[in-house]
Amino acid sequence: MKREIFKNLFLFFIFIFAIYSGIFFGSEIYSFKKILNLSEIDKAIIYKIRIPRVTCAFIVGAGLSISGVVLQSVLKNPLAESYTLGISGGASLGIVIGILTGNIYLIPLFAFIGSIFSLFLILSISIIKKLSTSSIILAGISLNFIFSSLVLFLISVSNYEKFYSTVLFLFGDLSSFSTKILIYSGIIIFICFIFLYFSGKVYDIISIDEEKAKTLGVNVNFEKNLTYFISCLISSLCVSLSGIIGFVGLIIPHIVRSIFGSIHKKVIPFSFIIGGSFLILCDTISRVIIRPVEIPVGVITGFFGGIFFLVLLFKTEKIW
Amino acid sequence: MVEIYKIENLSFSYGKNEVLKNINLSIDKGDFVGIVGPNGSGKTTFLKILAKILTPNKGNIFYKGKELKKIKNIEYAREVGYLPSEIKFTFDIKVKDFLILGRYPFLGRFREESEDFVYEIGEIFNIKDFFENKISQLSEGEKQRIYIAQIIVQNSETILLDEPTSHLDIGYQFGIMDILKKLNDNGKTIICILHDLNISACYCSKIILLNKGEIYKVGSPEEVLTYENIEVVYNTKVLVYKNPFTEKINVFGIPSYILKKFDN
Repeated sequence: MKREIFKNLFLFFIFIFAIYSGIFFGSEIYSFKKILNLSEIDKAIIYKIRIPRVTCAFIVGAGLSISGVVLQSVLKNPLAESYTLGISGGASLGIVIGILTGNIYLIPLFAFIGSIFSLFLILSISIIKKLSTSSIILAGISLNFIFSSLVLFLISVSNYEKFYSTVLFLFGDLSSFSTKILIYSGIIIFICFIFLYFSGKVYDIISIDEEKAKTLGVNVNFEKNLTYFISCLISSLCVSLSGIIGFVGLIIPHIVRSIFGSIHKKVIPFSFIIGGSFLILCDTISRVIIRPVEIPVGVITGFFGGIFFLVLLFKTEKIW
Repeated sequence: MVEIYKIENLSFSYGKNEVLKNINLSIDKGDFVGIVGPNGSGKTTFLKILAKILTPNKGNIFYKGKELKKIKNIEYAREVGYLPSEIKFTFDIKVKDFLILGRYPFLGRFREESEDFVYEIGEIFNIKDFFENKISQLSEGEKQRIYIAQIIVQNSETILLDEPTSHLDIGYQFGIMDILKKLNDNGKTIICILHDLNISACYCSKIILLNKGEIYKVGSPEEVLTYENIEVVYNTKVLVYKNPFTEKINVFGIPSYILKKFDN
């Protein structure tokens, strides 16, 4: 019981620390003293730039993490997430096509279509070829590379200068999101989160055994399709905001499961909070590390995520 | 006797491969049914059809007089529990949390309830000590006990089990079967696939002998487990006799090198 309280306090501390550092650290660092008497310019920086950015980082980190959790559950694959399945790659291709065809306001819709398309592709391949869980991940990562190449190709062939800068964010950057998209993405992702949280039991049952799940009265096919829909929705909104940020949906659920156990009523909310905090921290690091130059947050998450992924591959003796 | 399952002209095939052919059968409430037969005779497929996991291509199944395909999955789950031959966990969860999932058919997606119910079952099954353990920390025998306990949490009237005693040592084999016998004495209908003919003879009131997707013989152990039947179906020589201590049928396979001695 005491340990539970300690864990929750620790979680709370990380959350607060992430928000604090996200708001007050950056190219301009605010000390405690300075926070107490802010100038008008400082206030503008904090309210107009830092707070939206921290919100965006939280939403993206939290969204990617919970979509990772439920994908891992329904696919029974601890390595599944929107990046390793190629979903984010598909979304980014959708976005580029959206921009090229001049539908800038419909970007999330194009992202959604792209993500559904790539998920459909990967699931069909895995069913036809009867791929093992780790082969699905290999196929997914390959798919991601193919989509990224297509994105780069499209950028290269279009001589449109402005287009170039609009599309560059697709490689993981939190500095150029649109506030409009942020507001409705935040609302949609939060609603999805609440729904997934209350469906925790269903994910517990499906991740155990599909046949067992059927005989417990769970409509497995329906739940799976619903989960694919929701996680594509979440991932495409995240990609529309920040581009492809890999591995967050893999690292965070894994850490949460090892600390709090695998019951989804816990994994989903804790992944939401820790995932959000994690991305805020990564974003802060990316702004502070070679101040005043900012590096894309994808560089930081890619670095930590890649190392984590490798450790996970080597450490585990289980066959996935 | 109340009829719980009535099966008429049931056939099932995977693609062109016909696994079950023309099965007619009735099972009464309170029966302890053993499904036996050689590997590939369609036992698991048959059980999965009863569990509503697979849908038959032909024929009708009635559960308590109602057509099986017309019963909603969640309603069926309130009455019938199923234990697959193997459960592969993706993530390790605590025994307690696993047991609670058995309440799903009564609660659905959004409702919750207190855990007291599960603790009561834990008391009965003598598994309370494991409650805080992870499933992966348990032995095969302990796992099997937990799985059956979950079906009891599910409050199933009818329990379908796919080889509940495989992978177990002789102590656990009889331990698990004793639990099932006790449940049967309390009015539950048990239908289980068994590999061990002797165990099926000890516990079952009714035995279904499947051969190549067809019912070869149905009846009491004495009627079904005769050396003529077994030799035809399993294609091996056996010695069948009544054990004087248990007064149950015993079946012994006879190694061919010993048989050869008698040929001379």
